[in-house]
Amino acid sequence: MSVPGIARGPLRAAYDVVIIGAGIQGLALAWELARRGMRDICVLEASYPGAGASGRNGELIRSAFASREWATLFDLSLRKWHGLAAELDESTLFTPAGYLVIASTEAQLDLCRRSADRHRELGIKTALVDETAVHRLVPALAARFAVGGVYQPDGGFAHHDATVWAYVRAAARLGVEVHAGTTVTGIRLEGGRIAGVETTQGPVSTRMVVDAAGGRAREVAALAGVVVPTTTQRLEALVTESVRPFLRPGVALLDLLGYCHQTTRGEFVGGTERHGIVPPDSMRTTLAGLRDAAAKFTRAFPLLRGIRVIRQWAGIVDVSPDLAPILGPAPGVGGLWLDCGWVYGFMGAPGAAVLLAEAMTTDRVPEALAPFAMARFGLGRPIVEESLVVDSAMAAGASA
Amino acid sequence: MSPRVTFTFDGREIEARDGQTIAGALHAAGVRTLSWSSKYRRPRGLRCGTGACAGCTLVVDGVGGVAACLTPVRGGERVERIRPWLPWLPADRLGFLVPAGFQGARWLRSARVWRRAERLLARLAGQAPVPDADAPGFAGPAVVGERAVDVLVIGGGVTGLRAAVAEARRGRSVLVVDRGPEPGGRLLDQPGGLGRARALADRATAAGVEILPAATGLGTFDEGVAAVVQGRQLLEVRAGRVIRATGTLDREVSLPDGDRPGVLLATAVARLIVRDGVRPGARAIIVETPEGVADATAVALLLEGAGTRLVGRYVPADVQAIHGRSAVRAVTVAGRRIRCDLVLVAGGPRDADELDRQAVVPQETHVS
Repeated sequence: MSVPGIARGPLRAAYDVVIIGAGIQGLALAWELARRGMRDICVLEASYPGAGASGRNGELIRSAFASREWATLFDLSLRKWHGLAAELDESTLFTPAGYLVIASTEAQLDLCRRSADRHRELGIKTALVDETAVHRLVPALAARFAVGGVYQPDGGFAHHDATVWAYVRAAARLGVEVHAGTTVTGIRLEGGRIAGVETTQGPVSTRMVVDAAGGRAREVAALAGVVVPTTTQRLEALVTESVRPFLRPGVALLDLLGYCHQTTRGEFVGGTERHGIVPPDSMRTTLAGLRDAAAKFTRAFPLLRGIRVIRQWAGIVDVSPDLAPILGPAPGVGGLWLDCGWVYGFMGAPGAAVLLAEAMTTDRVPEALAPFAMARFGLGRPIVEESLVVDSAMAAGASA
Repeated sequence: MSPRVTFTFDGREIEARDGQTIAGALHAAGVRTLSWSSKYRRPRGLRCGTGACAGCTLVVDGVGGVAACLTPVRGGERVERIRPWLPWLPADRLGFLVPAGFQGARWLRSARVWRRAERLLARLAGQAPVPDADAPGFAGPAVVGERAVDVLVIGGGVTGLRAAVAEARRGRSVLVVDRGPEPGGRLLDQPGGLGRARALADRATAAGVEILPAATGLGTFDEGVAAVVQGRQLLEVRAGRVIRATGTLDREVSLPDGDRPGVLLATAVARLIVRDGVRPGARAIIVETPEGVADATAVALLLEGAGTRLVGRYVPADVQAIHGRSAVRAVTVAGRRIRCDLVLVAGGPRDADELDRQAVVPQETHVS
């Protein structure tokens, strides 16, 4: 069966660049490279495009982070998101419905206040909002749930599968070959440089490889002898039946370690963080995860009590010690690039792809990209970002 | 003559016989359109009769998502359809504005236009009202119960009940859960089957088996529990063994405009006749695949007994058009227009293997 955007022919003997992983990172990068005139780009995907975290995430998009590094990268990304559908000539179903972080305690509000101060310094348009304003933005929120929050009006959400396939088709139109069902089994080095990759469809010669393998990025890097200091964590989310619009912005609930939004077609999509139930690389869902999310979201939004869950999913993320992505050339292996360690990968992909494509086509690392180099861990210079909605177990797992 | 009860449907009073399902009583009252498809608001109605499709999904006493084909009339309930916004809008004829999947290439060139279009599409798509959490159907809190048994049987048909009896006679504690209002499964589609189903259930109960009706097995999870939902209760069952005896469902067959109200799968027709005592239509045609011939033949006999005139049997490739928007009026087959108010689709059985796909825990077994 032929699928638009997926290569039909066999793998060629050689490519200029081989990107491992047809998630949103690999696909966005392929498209950005092709736009910059690079030819003979191949994306290898063990499963199907978006099979990993790119098709299993909360879909939220913001740039309101509290560190310069995160804010710069994600603001570039957010600006890309606003014009992405027009650029790709494909719909991403991006909705600039706003992004609201809700605080339920004074301590959480303090965190929001500090974030808003940082946003002002960094030039990101957000507003610290009080209890009344939160309830006006989210009328469905339970009474007295919020004491305030921080709101980014031009944040929002997109549809993950729509975006993944938008990139697939747009990249294919520029000559990128996306090979699904093709697993990389080895990386060939010659004199400390990339020489090619071994795949289940035969060997391929190339001078440049990008590791964008998401939850499997650590294993892929190991094929080239590179140790990427990440751990695998799983996240679960649920989707309800479709109902009339009741929730406009994307929402993060600090008190619940939860995030949610309502899609254009009316489904409520939300996830809560909960760890240690099943092995961290399992993509199977748990009843405990379902119960946790159901209990928390019905507390925040009482009207959800009457709405059925129709789907549940689990996805895995590749968590770095400071929870920030690892972007740039891999140390010690010429021609190997890293695009991994993502926890906020869906929202960050369009921006990261621009920076990485610039670096790969000009051999000059853009200023915004430099802090995300893997070398930061060896130098003891992790990126400190305080406004992530993750629980302590994930942070502890990451630094362990 | 069984006692009669009444309920309201969109404000109109409907009479039902005790034991009838909501779908059966509405069918008897001539109501065909029970829902509208979410994007193109195509009228839909009773279709599968097994709770496997969304055609007869109604709001009962403020609680949405109720499969009318599985829900007996109690009497006095308020039943409503989920009306879409602007229900008269023939969105399926405005396909150039609302392309498949709302992918919206037409809108996206201008961010501002897309933003407005997106809000409009959201209203068109998200059609179900947000349920009123204070509605009578929500009386009482949602509760979570826990149970531990030796054997959990999902599906209370002949196979499930027999397996349950066998397990109980070996001294094991057995819980049987079944989606329907009472156990029996396929027996309930056969004339005289109700008595046999009740006898079998009595035998199981006598052997110490506990039977939970109107309870849906949601799945088995890696924590080693199975989830069962019964009304407002979530039951977490820790079972030494889970036997999935979910039986079969009807295979769908794709026909032009084959989603019209009045196009029914074989099981739905059988249940209308046998369980609800309703004549499913005045004039029926049968559309059957080779796998569906046995089902079609069995239901044809039931139709004859119910007083429905059978006006033809065809294969899917013969069907060129199904006429009528909110109810079937005629079918064009092999160039000939045939008047009918019921199209019976027999695609043959398929395994109801959804739970098998959800669970991949090796020690479990599936018996058809």
